[in-house]
Amino acid sequence: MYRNFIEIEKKALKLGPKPVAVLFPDSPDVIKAVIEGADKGLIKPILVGDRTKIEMITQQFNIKLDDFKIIDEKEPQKASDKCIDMARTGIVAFVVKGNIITSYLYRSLIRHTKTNTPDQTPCTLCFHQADNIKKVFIITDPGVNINPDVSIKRKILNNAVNAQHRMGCKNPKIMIISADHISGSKAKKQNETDILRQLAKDNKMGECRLSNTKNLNSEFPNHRVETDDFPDIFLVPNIDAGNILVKSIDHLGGGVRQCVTVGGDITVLTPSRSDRSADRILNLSLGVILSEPGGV
Amino acid sequence: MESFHIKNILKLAQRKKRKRIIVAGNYNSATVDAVLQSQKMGFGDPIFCGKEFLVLKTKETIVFDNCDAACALEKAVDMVNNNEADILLNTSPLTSKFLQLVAGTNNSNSQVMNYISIFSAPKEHRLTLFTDTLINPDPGIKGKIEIINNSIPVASILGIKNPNIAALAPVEFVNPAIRSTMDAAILSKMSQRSQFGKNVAVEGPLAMDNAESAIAAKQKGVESIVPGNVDIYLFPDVESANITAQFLSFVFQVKLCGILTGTGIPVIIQSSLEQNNSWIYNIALSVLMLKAD
Repeated sequence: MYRNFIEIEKKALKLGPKPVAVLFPDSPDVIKAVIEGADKGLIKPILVGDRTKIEMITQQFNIKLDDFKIIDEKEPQKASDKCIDMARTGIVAFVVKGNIITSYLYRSLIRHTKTNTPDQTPCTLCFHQADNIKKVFIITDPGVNINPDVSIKRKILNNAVNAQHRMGCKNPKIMIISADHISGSKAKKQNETDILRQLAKDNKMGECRLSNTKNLNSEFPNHRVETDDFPDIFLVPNIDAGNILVKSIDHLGGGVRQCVTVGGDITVLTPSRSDRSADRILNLSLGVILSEPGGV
Repeated sequence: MESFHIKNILKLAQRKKRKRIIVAGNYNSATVDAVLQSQKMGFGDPIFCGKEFLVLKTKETIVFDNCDAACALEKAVDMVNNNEADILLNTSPLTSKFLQLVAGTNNSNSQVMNYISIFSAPKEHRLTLFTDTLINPDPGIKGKIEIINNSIPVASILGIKNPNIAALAPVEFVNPAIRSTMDAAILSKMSQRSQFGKNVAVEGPLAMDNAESAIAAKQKGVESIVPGNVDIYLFPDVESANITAQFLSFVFQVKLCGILTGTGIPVIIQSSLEQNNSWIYNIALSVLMLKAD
């Protein structure tokens, strides 16, 4: 279990370099992170995208591309499909999103999952660091599933539990978080929580435990958050709640957020397009850990 | 807006005339302490309502001292409606029954009540409003219009005369499969046509990253004065608003206060998002909202 992203980066440096496909690396922050990641020994990148644009951006920063393989593909969906295929066939350990909107990768990953592992569902897992919490925790799903039903939520939790196991957290605590509803109002989704609780007890989502509470107020009524009792995984009700929450953690709270999208046994790093190169190095480190066979 | 610490709310309330605050519900020492503190600070004078407050050893006025907490709340609502008090402070946990009691009474122009959580964002040190963090599970477009209209006067009393409102969604593109993006686009268009007033800018759909950062918004092709300059975050629903506020309050220890708007009478409550010491701010906010000064 990792307390913060510094520990994750340290461990990743020992495990790397991993072969990765970088989709559309033609932006300064992406290419800087890719070069730095390669220099540090985290990754061996294959660059996928418009060769002309890639070469223009590398010339701009006086970067030599002699050691890097480039796959010239201008059409974003085709380029995205190629990256996922390289991950499926084991040519690369994971895929890195560059200067491209995420929906292309989502589409490729959804297709791949439906075809090859129909028992799984893709979802986004955001890993967070906050000053008061001495461990990295996951919030899911802020990216792929708009309004998941209970069967999809079970699959999302499968992905999150598997990721925490890979991160060395053997029995992650899950909170199915919801609003602190007004007494007497109709709280929805209780039935879903009961079903997921039973599935966790029956070990249908891997080794994990469900919190008895459904919000932070109930878990920490005195407003003092303790790391030991803090959940390792938060399952949010829908994409609205998840997406706004994960972005608030770094943009308003001052925490750290690193996102990956998983599905069909493939890991895709999905940083924000506005992430700086230093953030992207942490993202690459997370990818290295998650792609390590059997976890660490 | 300039840097505005949440403590300034107390200073602003001290400039107002003293109010008559009718206090009803379950006895709660933290709340009573805050009420007495607000009296010392000059916000107003309490009138305690119901037998729950017979334990008080002060010389404060106690009315309806044969009433239990629920009955006292009903009497307190009547007192405000009859102009025997200015503001009702509910010391009991918030229930849907109480909301029914304070909705639809006289003087109300709004059909929707919403709770506004107010804080200084840690990274920005800027006074920020979140709504609706407590009441409406699924406000829909009509509810969101009311919520915006209820929130503008609250921003105004805090010195935000030209509020920038981010209509939040998970993405900045309109996607028919995601209703929050559709609602946000409609609100944004209404704003362009000045339907919320000439000084109000509503922009959406905006994801939180491009609401908070003008650079991120520009990278996504959003050209607007709102990104990076948001005063009010309008959330898609209570789940998204309350969960986000939970993390800010509990994990990042952000000091929140709040106000219930759209009620028939001025009401002070406290949400579970807030710590005990927020009561004094919530009282001050309600004092500021009263127009008769």
